[in-house]
Amino acid sequence: MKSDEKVINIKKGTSYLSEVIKELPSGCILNKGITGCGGTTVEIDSKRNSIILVPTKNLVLNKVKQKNIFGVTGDVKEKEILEYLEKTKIKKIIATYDALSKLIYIIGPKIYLDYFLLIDEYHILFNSYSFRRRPIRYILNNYAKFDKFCFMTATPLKGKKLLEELYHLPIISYDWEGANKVDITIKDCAFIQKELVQEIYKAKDYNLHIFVNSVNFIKRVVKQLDNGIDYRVICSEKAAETMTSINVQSINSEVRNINFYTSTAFEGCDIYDEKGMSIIVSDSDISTTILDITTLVIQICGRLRNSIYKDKLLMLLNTRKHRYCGNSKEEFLEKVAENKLLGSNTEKMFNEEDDWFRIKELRAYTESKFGSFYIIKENEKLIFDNNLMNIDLENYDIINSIYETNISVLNEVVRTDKFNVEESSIKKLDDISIEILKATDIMKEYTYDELVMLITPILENRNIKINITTVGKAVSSIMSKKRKTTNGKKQMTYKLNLR
Amino acid sequence: METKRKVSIFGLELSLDKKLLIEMVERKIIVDDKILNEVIINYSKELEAQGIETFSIDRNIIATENGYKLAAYED
Repeated sequence: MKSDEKVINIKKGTSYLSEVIKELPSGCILNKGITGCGGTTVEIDSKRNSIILVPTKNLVLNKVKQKNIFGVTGDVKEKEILEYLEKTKIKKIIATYDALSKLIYIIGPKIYLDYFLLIDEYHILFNSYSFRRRPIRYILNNYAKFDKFCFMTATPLKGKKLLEELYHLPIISYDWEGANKVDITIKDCAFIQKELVQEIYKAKDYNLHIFVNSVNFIKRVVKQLDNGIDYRVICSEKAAETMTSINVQSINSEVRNINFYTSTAFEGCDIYDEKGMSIIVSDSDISTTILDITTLVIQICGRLRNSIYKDKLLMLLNTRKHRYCGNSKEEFLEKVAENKLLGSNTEKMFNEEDDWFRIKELRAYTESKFGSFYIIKENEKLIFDNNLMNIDLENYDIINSIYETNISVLNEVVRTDKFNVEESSIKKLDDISIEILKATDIMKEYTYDELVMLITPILENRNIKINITTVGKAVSSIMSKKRKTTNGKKQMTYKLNLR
Repeated sequence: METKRKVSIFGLELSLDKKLLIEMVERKIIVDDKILNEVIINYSKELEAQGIETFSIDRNIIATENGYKLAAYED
């Protein structure tokens, strides 16, 4: 716990934050403790002018549909905003993170005194920092000009993840007595798409809500489904442009039997479906689907508001190697230190140049030429960005610690204290792995050729083509390997068992 | 003889009080000048290429995501 963190207990039987407070506190980071407790609603219902910043356009649309509040996204004109401001006494604006500069421009300096600024789901500032840096840095550089502000989430950023512009803010946390725990079943799969398709065909008496942050993954799965499957895909407008012949719908469209969501709906959106069951897919082959268990899982668990299955969750994941793997922590830290040195030297040298030379040179520069991952271009200057370095370090830890094995997933989930994960669930393997294990002598060390011979009939039975990738996938969750010298010759040997 | 004048771009806070803009018009800092207007439009295009949105253009001043940008002669 941070030394300036204040914990407030909320008694059993309380469902909403509005039963405890009428206004959000100011000048702090607010940890709601649980999702779906109506934190944003407290601000919407308060008797003051508010600007609520949320991460996605879908979230704006979702809240505008439910509440009497004005939504500002990129396509809303200045005139419309001015008309709303003129005719409304207590102004309630919900906008995407990107829209803050537009609101400051339209409302002018009085915005800082007259409006309460709520940065909702603020953990996204960290999670999306590397690819939405401009609007996020704008918020970080300007929030303190507001007389009253609050950063709110149910999954606060801690340690390395706390952006340096927020270090000094006190944290207020709500601790809900008797909050429901979520039962998570984890399935480590060699063929994650096939496993998901099987789950889809099983969903007869309930609806599936599948959260996966890769439109290409969704496209591939949808193409494997029969024509009769009733499905929809919720994704950003930009992603939708690439989804030809896929049923892309808005967040407010009717729930279907099978519902896919990209990150546009991971945070904050309310989904109403009494028969909805959640699945999280995390394919460590695709960097965008890597989830930080402590944040995104909690967020996703809170999306289904009224389902009889809202306390259950299935996670499909694979624990195979990722690009951050293959380097020991020491090796990785060396690379980080090298980048840091290079970055801070580049920043110093470049910014010492006279304005004319610097600006001319900078315009010719692209980010790949900076020589360090942690350098950014801002206001005609190069800046060494500590946040980028922390994100790099955090990503390494996520991939290597959380995703290395099933056990560490379990540990990470338990650490958050909102989940029950049964020990047995971590032994759950997909059918192929089980069949391979049955045919395996678990004491034996196999050569690669022996391994292929063992697996070939099992894969052929399932019409899976035999090649180095499919063999690797089939055994990845049950295999350990080592290099051995036999008769003076070095070769890789493989053992198959439950790790 | 042709005289060359240098033009610079000045940055101002986006939260600038609108009264100050009126004052700048009165003091002829914001002016109808073909060259300055052309410079600021080109600058706006440059910003756009970097993904920075321009909210509005008026004479020799633009309001952008990064603040107001004003084109003026250095002398």
